[in-house]
Amino acid sequence: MNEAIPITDDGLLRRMLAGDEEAFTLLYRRKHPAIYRFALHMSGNAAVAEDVTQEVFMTLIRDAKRFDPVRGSLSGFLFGIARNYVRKRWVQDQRIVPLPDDAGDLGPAAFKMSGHANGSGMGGAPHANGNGNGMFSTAARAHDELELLETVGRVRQAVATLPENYREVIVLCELEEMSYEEAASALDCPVGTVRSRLHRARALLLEKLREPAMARSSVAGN
Amino acid sequence: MTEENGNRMDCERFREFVHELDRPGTKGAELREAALTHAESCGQCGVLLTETESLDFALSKIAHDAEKIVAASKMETVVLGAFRREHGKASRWQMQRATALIGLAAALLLALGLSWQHRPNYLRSSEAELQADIKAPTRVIESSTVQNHGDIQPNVQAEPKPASTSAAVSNDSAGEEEFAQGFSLLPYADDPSMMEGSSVVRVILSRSALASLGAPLSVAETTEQVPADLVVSPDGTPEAIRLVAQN
Repeated sequence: MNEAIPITDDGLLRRMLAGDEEAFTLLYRRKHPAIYRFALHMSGNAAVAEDVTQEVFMTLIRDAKRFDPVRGSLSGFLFGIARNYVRKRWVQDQRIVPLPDDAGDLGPAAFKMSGHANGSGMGGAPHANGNGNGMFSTAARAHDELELLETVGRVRQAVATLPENYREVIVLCELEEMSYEEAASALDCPVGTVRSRLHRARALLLEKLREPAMARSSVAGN
Repeated sequence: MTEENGNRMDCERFREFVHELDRPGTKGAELREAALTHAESCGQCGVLLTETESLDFALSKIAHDAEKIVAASKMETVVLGAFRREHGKASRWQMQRATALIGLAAALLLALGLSWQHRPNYLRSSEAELQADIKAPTRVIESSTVQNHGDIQPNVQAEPKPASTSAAVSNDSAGEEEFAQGFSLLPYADDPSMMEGSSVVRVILSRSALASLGAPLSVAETTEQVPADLVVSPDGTPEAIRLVAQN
């Protein structure tokens, strides 16, 4: 069986350095979605995310020789550049985190909030299967889905309001599903730091998600 | 600590590892079973587990949704344009460098060739000189005294002489190259006995003067000065002549 062997990132980079436009195009198409998402999650703004992504690849064109495979993967290198540009934009714009009302600015439909203002606390994972038939089970499923959408929206907001260091690890380890090692390479810090930051970030998210529920239950108690 | 103790689970350890129960390759993943067992028996940890699972689900939903997000396609055009410009710049630079190197190499070769062409005589290989002299159609008369009358015959090629002899004939113009033909007897020198004890004298005369002596020259340019060697008999009469060309 003759299967095409995928070209590694390093191989593409070498070809790109030799002036191979096709290799650069492949590399761009392979890497830019994750970089763009990272910038979008970190900045909360599609225009900024595009600027950052563009700058990352401009930097790659100019300074690809700075990449050292011994120090980490190419993805880590690119995320590191993206991270620096996002920070630079924060300093320029004096906008540390997007306001919750700006969530719509996140643009694509995937980032739209569910639109339910009244939280009902944390929703559980969706029920795997309904036990009943008819109107009751349909209503229960609809309720579950509503609750789920609401939870997702609140988690999205909570992530956007996390301090920068914690948001980075959430975006890299949870949303981009990087390993601790890859995230450590991108963030240029020890693996242990990534682990502890992720632990703390998740704890903060849980705290943020509990807040409305606690407030509501205290109101109901009065 | 035994393995059983290492896998033991209490509320403190549960809180420590609850966030990485589903992360492969971590300690939390190893302790997953023990953590789930603990959560079933501990109300607080059970609630925390539910909240964590809910958070995990929400995060994975966000990640899944985000996969559909794409950057504007114009960005690829912009970035590719930048790549072409940068690479074109690099190519131009490389071409300029190659051209400069080729030019430099050519200049060096030219300089080397010129210096070789105009090198001082003392640097010339004596071997090469010897070969050149041997091949030159020179007819040499013994430097100071002509012993053998039969050697001097008009327009007759003689055997080549050693370089030292040749040098003795033409050493009075250091730094210039000389090319000498064989001696030609002058028209009135019909008595070979007059050659005995003769000497060779270097003279520089006008072409007309040399022609009047009987040298085989055209006299188109009468003012031109021409070096020549004369075989002068003991009584001072020129007996034979050869022209010496100089560069």
